[in-house]
Amino acid sequence: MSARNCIRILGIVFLLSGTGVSSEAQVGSVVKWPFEQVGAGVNKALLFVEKRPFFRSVTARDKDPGSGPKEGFAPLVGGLGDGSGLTGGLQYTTSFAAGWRATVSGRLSTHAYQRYVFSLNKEFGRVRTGPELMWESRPEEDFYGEGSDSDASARSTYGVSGPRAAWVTAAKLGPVELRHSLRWDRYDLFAGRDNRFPTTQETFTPTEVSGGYSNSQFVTNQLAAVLDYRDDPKDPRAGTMVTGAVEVRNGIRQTAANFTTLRLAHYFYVPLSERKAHLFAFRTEAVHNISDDAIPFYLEPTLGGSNSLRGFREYRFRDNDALIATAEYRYRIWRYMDAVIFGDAGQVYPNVFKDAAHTKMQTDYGGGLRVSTPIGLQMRLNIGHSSEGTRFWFRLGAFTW
Amino acid sequence: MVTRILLVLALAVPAAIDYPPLGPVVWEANDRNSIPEPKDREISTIYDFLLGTFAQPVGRAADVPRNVRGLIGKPKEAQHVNVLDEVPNSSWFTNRNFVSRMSLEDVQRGPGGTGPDPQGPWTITHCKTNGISPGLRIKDQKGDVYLIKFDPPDFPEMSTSADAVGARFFYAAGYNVPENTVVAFDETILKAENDLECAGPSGKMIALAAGGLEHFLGSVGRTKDGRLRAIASKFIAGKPKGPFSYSGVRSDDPNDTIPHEHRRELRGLRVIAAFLNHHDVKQINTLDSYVEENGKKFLKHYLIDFGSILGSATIAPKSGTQGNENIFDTGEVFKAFITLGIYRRPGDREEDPLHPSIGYIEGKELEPSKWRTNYPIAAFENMTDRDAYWGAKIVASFTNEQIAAIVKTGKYTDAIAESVLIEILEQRRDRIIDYYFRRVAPMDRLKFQGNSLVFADLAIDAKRDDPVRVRYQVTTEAKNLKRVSGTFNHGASIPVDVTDEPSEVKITRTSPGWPELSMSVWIQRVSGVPTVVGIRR
Repeated sequence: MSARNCIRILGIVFLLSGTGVSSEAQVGSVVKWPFEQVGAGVNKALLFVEKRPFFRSVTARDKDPGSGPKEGFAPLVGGLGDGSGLTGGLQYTTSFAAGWRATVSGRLSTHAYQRYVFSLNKEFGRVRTGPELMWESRPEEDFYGEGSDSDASARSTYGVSGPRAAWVTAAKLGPVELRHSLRWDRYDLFAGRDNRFPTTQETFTPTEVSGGYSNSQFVTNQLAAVLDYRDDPKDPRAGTMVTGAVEVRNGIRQTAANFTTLRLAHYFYVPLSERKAHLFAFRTEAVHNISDDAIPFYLEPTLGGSNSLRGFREYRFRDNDALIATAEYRYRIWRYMDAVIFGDAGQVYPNVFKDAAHTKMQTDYGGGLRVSTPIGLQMRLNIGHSSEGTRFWFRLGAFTW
Repeated sequence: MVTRILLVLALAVPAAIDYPPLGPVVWEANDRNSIPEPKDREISTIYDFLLGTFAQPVGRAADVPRNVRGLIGKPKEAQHVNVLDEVPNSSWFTNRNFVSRMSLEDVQRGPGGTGPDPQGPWTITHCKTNGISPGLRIKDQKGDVYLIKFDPPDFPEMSTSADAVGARFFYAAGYNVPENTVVAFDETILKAENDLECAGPSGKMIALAAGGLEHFLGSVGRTKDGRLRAIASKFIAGKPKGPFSYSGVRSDDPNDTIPHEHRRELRGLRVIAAFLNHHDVKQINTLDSYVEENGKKFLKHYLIDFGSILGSATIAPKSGTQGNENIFDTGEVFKAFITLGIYRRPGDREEDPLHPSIGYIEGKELEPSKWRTNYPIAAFENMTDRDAYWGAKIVASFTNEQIAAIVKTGKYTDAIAESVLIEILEQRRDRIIDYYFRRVAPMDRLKFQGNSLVFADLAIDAKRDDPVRVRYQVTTEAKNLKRVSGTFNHGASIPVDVTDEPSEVKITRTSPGWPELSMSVWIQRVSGVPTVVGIRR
């Protein structure tokens, strides 16, 4: 029996078991009702949206890739990290005198995570430079203790917020992008607002967390380089990318800690067919902190969540250093959707060079979907399984790799 | 439960009595009466997609009588046909190439027009912001208004040629289409109306007069000598009233009485669209125009925008899946998912198109029954074998010479690409004939010569079957008197007794390698003249 006939029989059984038999005209009117009544309203609403310049700017994104944000309003989705809930926002970009471009954006999540950014920049040939102001609040961050042996049942919650002021300069030289920022940032700790869990401040004494619970302020010098040989940064399917960053933080005022963070990441994509409908994607990332001082726990690298160890809760592990390796097999199942099978391995260390050899890695595996819509919206859905159970991740916003 | 099933069957079966309407042959539909000016109709692109992809399929699955008829092999036939199972001329359709073969000049001319005067100046009055390709509305020296659209820069000629070729094929098939002409011109003839602003790629409005035009034209295809090449589509006469739907009727058009999903010319359009690989059939690509003809004001229904036919998907060549599956095809997605992507979808391919100007279009690999539009079209989903046969015989009516003549209007500069496209279209035509003419008896153009019945065999006319091997067994039946008249060869005149009462002549076609195909013809003496008064395939 063909699939079509199966559907027909199911349709008949469905209706016969329901409200009884109608004449064809009656059935027709029942079937058409949603189209004629609800449909007209939906059509009007969608027409209204489609006619807005705002909508055109969204749909035009993929057709006009360029540097920097597009002029005018643009919606923002995601971008506040795991555990922040559903995030939406708006960005407005405009150019004005002497080639300066200003961007103001705001994001707000269902868990009251917030980020507001104002930036001003101007291009001088291949160099773009300008100031950036930001304020961010993350009220429901998770903390399980530090180290690879932290207890999964010791989940606690803390909040952190604060402003940031920076001068950012970026230069694009072929496949290489250099980026420097000199910034001041402040971190104000407060009791976490996820009332399902005790606060970190209640659960752990100040001596049990790196850097204690004091607020902090830093002047930070960051230099980063990106070597990008990927075919499409928005949805890479071939090529490679290496990123490296050195970040020197100097505590100011009451903050005594000074430390230097080194980050190195390598992304590698191996297409298995000419159309890149099937590919292997690999990522390795290492973070190493150099310091004699205690690094505030909220600035330590973390593992766990939709972007690292997907079989573990977000921010499940944290310590001075971290190492993560991921392998994915991605294959196209629809023109806008890839399915993914993945395996992750990673661990946090007091010192990656000294401890990596004798500390077992945390591992997980799973599968998922990557959706890249024609209007530029991207989303990921992953299910990861580890020794600590199965985690489900849904993430809206641009692909990170 | 059993009672319910019987009730459903009782409701469904009367609509499928296998007896055709008999009577005079109507060739002109009564749908061009004066009507009050209808309101504008607008349809959201997203809504149309959601409706076609999700809502209407659910509606069809829940339509009990339709499903019962489908199960017992008696689907609801088209309502808008005459006793010869043909479509009368109407505000939707005009019988052209199948009924009376058009000359090569006529098929090339299509709906007429030579395009705007390339000497200019052309005044830009509006920008085209809907759809996926950039366009400008211009007024030429004569005051005629055109929409001009361009090729993607990496695939010059692809969509503009497709648009010109498509308009002529659909016109010759019988549909109302705009005058589409390929034009090449120097951009200096373009003059923007004062203060005209258009939405740029970022969505922000830009003034064309203040450098915006250069920006606008910076991403369009050009000829080898740097001129702009475009399709100039003349504005359709009358007042545009928005697209027509492929289902239901237009409530503000009293002439529109037949649900569109049951119109033969819309159901059978699926086969013609498959021939031309028009995977982008949708409401947005149609237009109702309030016209005045012969002193009457009514809505005339047009197909428009053929930039996504043949191997073109307007901004890029067709992908392997376009024309082979719907945008959202759950079956194909599931197969790809569970096989870890190893499953190869129909039409899936690795290589780039050999000829950028024609994009990607299959020829002899076409499987007509599996051809798909971007999303299900209500009228196409209702297509029966008889509807498909009607569409197939229009496709079959295009000779090799006509196909070549129409393709030349695409003004391809690559002669090899042009000849490849001609060959591909011939192959697609033959694939359609081979499929649909094996499902419905292809005997057609039945008429009397004296007291003998004569007919054409369209499969033989199309050189898809050997006239020497085909036989026709003829049986006549009238008032319970059955008489076998005999077996005849191709081209024979069949002597039949004709009375003042309708009588049925059953013709069964046999040919080695072909299925046995039958049709019934009802004949009657009308005003003393033997006449075909009904046909059932």
